[in-house]
Amino acid sequence: MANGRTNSEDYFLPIRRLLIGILVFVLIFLTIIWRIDSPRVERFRMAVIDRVVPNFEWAMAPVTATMKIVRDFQSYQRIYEQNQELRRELQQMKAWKEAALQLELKNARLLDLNNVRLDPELTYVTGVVLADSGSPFRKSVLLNVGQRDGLREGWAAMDGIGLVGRISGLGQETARVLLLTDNTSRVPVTIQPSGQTAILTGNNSPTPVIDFIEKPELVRAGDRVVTSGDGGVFPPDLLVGQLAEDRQGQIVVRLSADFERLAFLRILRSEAPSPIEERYDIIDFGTPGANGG
Amino acid sequence: MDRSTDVRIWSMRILFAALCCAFLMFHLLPVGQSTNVAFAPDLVLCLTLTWVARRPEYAPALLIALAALLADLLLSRPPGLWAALVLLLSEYMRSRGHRMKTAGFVWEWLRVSAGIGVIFVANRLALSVLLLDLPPVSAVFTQYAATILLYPVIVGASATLLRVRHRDSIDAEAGKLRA
Repeated sequence: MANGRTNSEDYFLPIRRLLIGILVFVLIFLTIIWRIDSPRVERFRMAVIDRVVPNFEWAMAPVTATMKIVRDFQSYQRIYEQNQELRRELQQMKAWKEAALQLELKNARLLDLNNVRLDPELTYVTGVVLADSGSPFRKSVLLNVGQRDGLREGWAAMDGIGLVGRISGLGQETARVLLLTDNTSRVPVTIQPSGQTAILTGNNSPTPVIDFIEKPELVRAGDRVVTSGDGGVFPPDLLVGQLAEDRQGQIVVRLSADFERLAFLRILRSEAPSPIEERYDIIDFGTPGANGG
Repeated sequence: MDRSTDVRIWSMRILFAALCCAFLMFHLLPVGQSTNVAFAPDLVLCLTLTWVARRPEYAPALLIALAALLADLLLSRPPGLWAALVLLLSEYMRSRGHRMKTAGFVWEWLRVSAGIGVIFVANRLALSVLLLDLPPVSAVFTQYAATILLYPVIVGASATLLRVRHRDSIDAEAGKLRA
């Protein structure tokens, strides 16, 4: 067989080169189409992921579980310190629990007085994390809920405590959550006691940066950071994390959600704010005389 | 004889596709967000180059292109760009496969490292031409280093476990058995 490479190969080689060339051209063309018309190709990507990744699940589950066990096992090594730490925290928590109970009672009484109803639109869908982004340069996870469950692009994802990211990419049965730590993530936030607004910018590190803050001297480490609801992307007042300062003196946010162990995520159903359509009515009030007064 | 080689070739092609899928699955495992920065070699690329230099008929170009494109789609990279570069490099290695065998493994490793370096740089250039945001240099370099360090491991594993070696060493062995 090794000697039979004479005539047929001479004919075949140029054709083969041509075919390879066409293949490379098609691939690069796909990239260019993706660059020009990103949403369509991204939909195609989500469709492929939708077909492929759930099939991996049976194989991935045991491997993931094993790796988690190994990691948990490593944490047994410092079990004594952890125990001490937990005891101390438990003490503090008991004090807080007392305070919380009292506040809850008070709150319930006040709500009752005011006859307040909580917004019924803030319900959620819970999904399980199927897969990572698989690339060191992208921070996202894949959930096992999708269009089938009524999800929409842009909805906020939280773990039990804090904001995790937003839906960016929907398949029938899967959804991609772009994490706050991704390079392309931008979220409008409010810094709590001072009430200043800023933009939380992901930078591929575990602690995203605060940008566009008007008076940096008014904030300090430990301030609470919540979503501001500007731009209508997220509902307001979702907990994001606490301010901190990194080694370069930048203002960063230590996120409340546990990004090391994302297992279950809540997707908040939020309705987009209704757009203002009849814009002329706002400028002049229908009658020309209204401007003069 | 001919029939049995055909069966072997096709089963090895299927195995190649299955291995690519397994490596992709490994990349996708949901284990922590900070841990995957340090260790992220491109396993599919290593496997492709190894097989193409040794037994080109087990890794046809179309299969390589499909596997790399699937990787692009699943790992949220620009679809097609990396696949095209992998395909070009694999074609280059395919044409050099015979010479690699005579020159020895160290030479092959150097060549592969240089080739992977070239496509990493080309990828970065293409990303900047397309005005996409570039990943940080340090992370890319870690990935590059991890990939070329893993290459001998993949070569060794596919030679010992899957018997993917240069043709002559296999023929010699078969001849010994027959004799």
